[in-house]
Amino acid sequence: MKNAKSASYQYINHKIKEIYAQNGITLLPMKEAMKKIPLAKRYAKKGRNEGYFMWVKKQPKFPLSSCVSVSSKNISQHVLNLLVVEKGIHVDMLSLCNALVENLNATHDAKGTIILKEGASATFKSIHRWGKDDKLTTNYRFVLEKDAKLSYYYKSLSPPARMDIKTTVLCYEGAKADMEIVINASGSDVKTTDTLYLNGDNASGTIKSRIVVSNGSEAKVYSQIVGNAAGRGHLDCQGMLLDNESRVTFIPKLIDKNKDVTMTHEASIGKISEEELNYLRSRGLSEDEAIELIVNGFLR
Amino acid sequence: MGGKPILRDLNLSIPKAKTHALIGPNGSGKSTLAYTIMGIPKYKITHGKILFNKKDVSLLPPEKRAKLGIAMTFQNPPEVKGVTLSEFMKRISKGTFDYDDPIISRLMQRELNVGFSGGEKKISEIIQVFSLKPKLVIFDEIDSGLDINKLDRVVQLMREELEKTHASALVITHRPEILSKMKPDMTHVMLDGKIVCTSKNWRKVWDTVRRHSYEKCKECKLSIHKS
Ligand SMILES: Nc1ncnc2c1ncn2[C@@H]1O[C@H](COP(=O)(O)OP(=O)(O)OP(=O)(O)O)[C@@H](O)[C@H]1O
Ligand SMILES: [Mg+2]
Repeated sequence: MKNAKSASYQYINHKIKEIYAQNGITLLPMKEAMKKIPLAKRYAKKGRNEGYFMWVKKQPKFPLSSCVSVSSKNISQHVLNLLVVEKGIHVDMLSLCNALVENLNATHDAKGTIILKEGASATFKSIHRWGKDDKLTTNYRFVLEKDAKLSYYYKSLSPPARMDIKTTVLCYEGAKADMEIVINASGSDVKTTDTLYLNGDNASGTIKSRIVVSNGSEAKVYSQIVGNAAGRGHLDCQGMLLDNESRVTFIPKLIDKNKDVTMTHEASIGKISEEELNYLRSRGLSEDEAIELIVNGFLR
Repeated sequence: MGGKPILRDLNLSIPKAKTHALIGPNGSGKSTLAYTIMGIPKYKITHGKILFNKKDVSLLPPEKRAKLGIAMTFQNPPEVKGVTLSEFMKRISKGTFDYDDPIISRLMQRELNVGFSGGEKKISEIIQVFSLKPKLVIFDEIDSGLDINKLDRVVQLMREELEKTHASALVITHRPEILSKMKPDMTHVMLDGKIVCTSKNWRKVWDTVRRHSYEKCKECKLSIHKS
């Protein structure tokens, strides 16, 4: 049962291809949920009637998945997703968004809210694969109630020419969030805004960014932790430049609003080490292969 | 090297299946010679050439030389994050390798050279280099930092592999132990970027160096090119 799923939502262009959930999980198109379910109603947004509503009330056996794709030209998606995980339940979510081929000139604009109720936990993997001429904007918000746990992983190994992604995590008492953002930008204009709020005592979290830029890319990485309560937070930003035409700017911020909060950050930007490159080449790897190996190692 | 000449008037040839040793004081240019033979880009040849199996390799990049069969162990190998030694070995290796050794198996699961101790780095170098099935191996201070048992083990591995593959070797060292074990066919002394002595008898060379100094090698008559 390697590919077994407890819930699956597949959407291409403007059509649902699959919507399936096991007993104990409510999975509906957002459009429908907004009319029937008060919880969904509260999050409804004008002009956004694509996306899913997923409500996990029983411990699922298998991972949950969503896959939103574009396969035709000039498609413009305005997505609103809502995932609610009830108390003490653990979910593994895989979210894939992509263009099936290059040159579709797609617009993918997604908003989402993920609520982890008390003691719930989630691994949330978001993988993006878009073509160069697609436009990508996302704004995701995670709400971690008391003692909830989140491990969030975002990966984009071939970003479009323009992307702007925003991720906000709110941690209440005892909640813990680890965020990891991995981007390999080649000829792309990338902006990421990652914010972690420590809103309850003993809340804790980390934001880890790994950004590689090449071929005239420009990456701006805004990461911040806001310490509203006695929690702990750490920011870790590392960038790698592969040429002189590309740029990375880290704008790390630690905002301290409580005397008992502990927040730290580290940031570094560097080039590929000549020494490592030569070492790998002496073992028979071409220059490109050696760069690829170092970059993949860095992003891992 | 950055415009500064390091090696001069240098003539060295290593026949097939022979092991040569290279000794010389710190900073005399031994590693520079190794990098130059390997083809590390920042070491530029201004005069002369490097022949490998009669082929001029002077202008080839390191990976091409590696493909032809030139390999070296680095004196200070760099750390490469995000790839395990085992994954890397699978990537570069020309054959199968299996070392029934607990130290090696443990290293295999770790990121390439990351946090390896001095001795562990040497072991990692040896197994990588032999997995390339080289025809010429330059060992740049493979013996430094190894405890006496590890040294025995590494030397045993070197001898076995070299014998099996009829590869040639250049052993760069500061210590007599590895020489007594490897029994080089020829020993060269490097001083200020020049080979000032070439002798079949490493013991006599070593005695001269120990009793006098490397400087003495300039005048002494041991070298086969002088007598
Ligand atoms: N990248 C470099 N920039 C400037 N000088 C260098 C560089 N690499 C080597 N050199 C110089 O070249 C000379 C020879 O260095 P090399 O490393 O070849 O010596 P070595 O004989 O291997 O010494 P050791 O026994 O200490 O390893 C030294 O004076 C060294 O400082
Ligand atoms: Mg040296």
